[in-house]
Amino acid sequence: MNKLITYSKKGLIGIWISLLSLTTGCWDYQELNDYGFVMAVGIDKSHKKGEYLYTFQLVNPGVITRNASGSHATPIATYSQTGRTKLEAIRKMSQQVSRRLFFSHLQVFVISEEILREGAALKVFDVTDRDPQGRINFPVLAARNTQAYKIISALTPIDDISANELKNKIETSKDVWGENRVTLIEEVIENVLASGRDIAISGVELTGDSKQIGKAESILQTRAKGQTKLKGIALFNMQNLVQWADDETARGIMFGSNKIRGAALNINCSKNNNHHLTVIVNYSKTKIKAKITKNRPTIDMNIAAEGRIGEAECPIDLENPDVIHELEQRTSTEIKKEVELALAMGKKNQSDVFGFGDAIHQADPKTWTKWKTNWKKYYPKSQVNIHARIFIRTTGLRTNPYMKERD
Amino acid sequence: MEKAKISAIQLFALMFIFDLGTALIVSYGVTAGKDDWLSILLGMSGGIILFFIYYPVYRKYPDLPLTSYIGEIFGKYIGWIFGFLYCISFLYIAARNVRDFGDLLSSSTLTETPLLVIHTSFVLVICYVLYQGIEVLGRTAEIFLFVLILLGIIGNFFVLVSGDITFQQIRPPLEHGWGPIITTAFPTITTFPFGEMFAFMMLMPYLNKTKLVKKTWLSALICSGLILSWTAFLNMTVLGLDVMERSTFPTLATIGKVSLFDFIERLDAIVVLTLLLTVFFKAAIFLYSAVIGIVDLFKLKNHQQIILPVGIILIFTSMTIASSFSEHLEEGFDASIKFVHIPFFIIIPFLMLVISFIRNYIKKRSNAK
Repeated sequence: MNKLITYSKKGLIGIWISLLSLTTGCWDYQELNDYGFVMAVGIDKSHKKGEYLYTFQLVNPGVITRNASGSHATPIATYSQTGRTKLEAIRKMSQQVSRRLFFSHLQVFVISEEILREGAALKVFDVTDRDPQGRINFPVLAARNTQAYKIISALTPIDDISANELKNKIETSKDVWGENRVTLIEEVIENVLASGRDIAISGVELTGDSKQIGKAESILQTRAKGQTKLKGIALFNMQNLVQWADDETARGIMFGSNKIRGAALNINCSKNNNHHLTVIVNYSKTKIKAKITKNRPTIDMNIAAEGRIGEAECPIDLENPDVIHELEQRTSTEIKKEVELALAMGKKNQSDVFGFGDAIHQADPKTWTKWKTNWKKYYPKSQVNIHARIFIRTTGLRTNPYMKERD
Repeated sequence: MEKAKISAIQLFALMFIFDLGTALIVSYGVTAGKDDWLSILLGMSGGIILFFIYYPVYRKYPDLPLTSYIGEIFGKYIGWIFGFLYCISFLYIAARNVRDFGDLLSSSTLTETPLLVIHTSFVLVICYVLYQGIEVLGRTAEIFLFVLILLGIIGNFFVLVSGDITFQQIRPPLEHGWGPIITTAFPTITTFPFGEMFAFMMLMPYLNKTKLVKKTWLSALICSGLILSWTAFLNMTVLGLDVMERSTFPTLATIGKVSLFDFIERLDAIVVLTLLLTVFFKAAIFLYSAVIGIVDLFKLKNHQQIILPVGIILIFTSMTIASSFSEHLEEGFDASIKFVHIPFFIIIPFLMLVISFIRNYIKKRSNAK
């Protein structure tokens, strides 16, 4: 009797234990500390043909979580690996990194100018798009005059993780200065081979001593050495980088493609002096309408912006509405000029950066079906009417500037 | 046949969830291009027409399941064969649904888990519910209807406020004319999912108020059709045609794009949960239809005794119908529509309608004599 009870107890325990195996949950369960968080990916030319050099920026979790600054390790670590496909490089990385790469926190993608000019480098996003871990809503940048791995390896003083720094930089700059386009991966995927619009990608370059890149000493001083800086917008013809647009031209691209979220435009106070005032643009909306006249695309581009006087370093009567009107007019002309610069560059390089093709597709689907395949032939011929109009709403907390004309 | 009754609301819940199952998540109707939402609306009207083919036959035999009265219409032997083929087709579609679900799960969230494990656990739960009977299934559907609506509201809300919607994506409308829209609506969308509701012919005898069939059926069909059309519209405005064509699960991609304040992100769980719920009921209804069909045809005592064996057949079928997801989809939009959906949900019901009319007519004439 006693034996029977112990047997059944054993049996019960056996069943109980075997049931436990069913309750452990996910098959795919992984511990957090098995993962290496990839924050940035850089792609460069490899010395082998048909291969790219992939560089991954990983967080060093020990340094990030520890508040004490006594640690000597850098907050990030970068690893490089060549591969014919990105996934090959990722999987091969396991020979170098102890942890499994985890991509859900990827912040930024950097591709070197060199391979962008050769074209075909933009195919590497497929794995990001296909993989369930991947997100495609983060920006891609072009490493200008330098290699992507250098950009990825730079240490930054204010944000510990330089990928975050890069991403925040471009987002802040987009909001306040308006010369850098935030081009998300999803945008590239949608448009890179679409016929109605060409992509444009912001550039990032190295400043300071490039030998200092990635050294802890580079940020152990107030004037950090070996840093990165955003510079210009790269224009594309299909998947080939064709030209860099800088300064006003870059801002023209932003105005024309309805991407301005904030900008600061300098205007001469009056025609005969060199003093400036700055108009802050805080709203801008661009509408593009297309029609076909005589087998030639005609585009109407309407830019409506709003802003305020941000700074006036010259004697000017800002209480006078007529003066404001005149300033509005000159600012509008400035915007128009910048967009024209951008358009001229786009036409020269056959880069449909404003998406005129899409506009024609919307307006006249039948003609578009005919033009679609050789749109690049029609595009430079397009007649574009640019109308820019800015409204200056306020002058800030002061009306007239303290600079006065001597009586 | 069990002795059970379900209410009209429960039937509505079952039908509504049934229609949304898989159709809400998988990519379908894309052949209509940017106007797939329109195509779904047309398909819905096709579904309404189909109902008026099914309904008169049902009215003649309100207390019998399909497998019983099909014998009375086509004659004992041919009817039996047709009934058996119906059971097999129901089982096949159930297997397709399970596979849809398994593939979504294994390609989106459980990438390392073998398909067999997902299918087995899923089908075993279905078997358990069906073992408890149709009443339990009905009550479960009633509860989950509200969960589903809640999920739908949350998902829609986030997509709408996320600012990902660009109406440019669906313009210009009717770019390629009505042709692709109509060929997509008839027969593909008409039969899937609306024609599949024919499976409910097996469950109709359980309804406690036979008069409410018309109202319930049509309201469920229209509600679900509108929701499907709206979802397709939303997907197209968020994703655009190109991405839509390349996505295995467009709704998942749409929800995946939502990113609010860098904080509300990765809402994929909503879609996975929606698919889990809807496919659960859809596969359950098909499996149940097949099971009670077999019980009826082979004159078995009760359905409980064969649930598990048929469930295991279901697992096996769901694993073997296709070797890859591409093959599965290809089969679904081509062979399955041609050889299962059109014959079983349009042609045979139509024949049934015609023959029963003729029989009626002959009967009347002979009575008159």
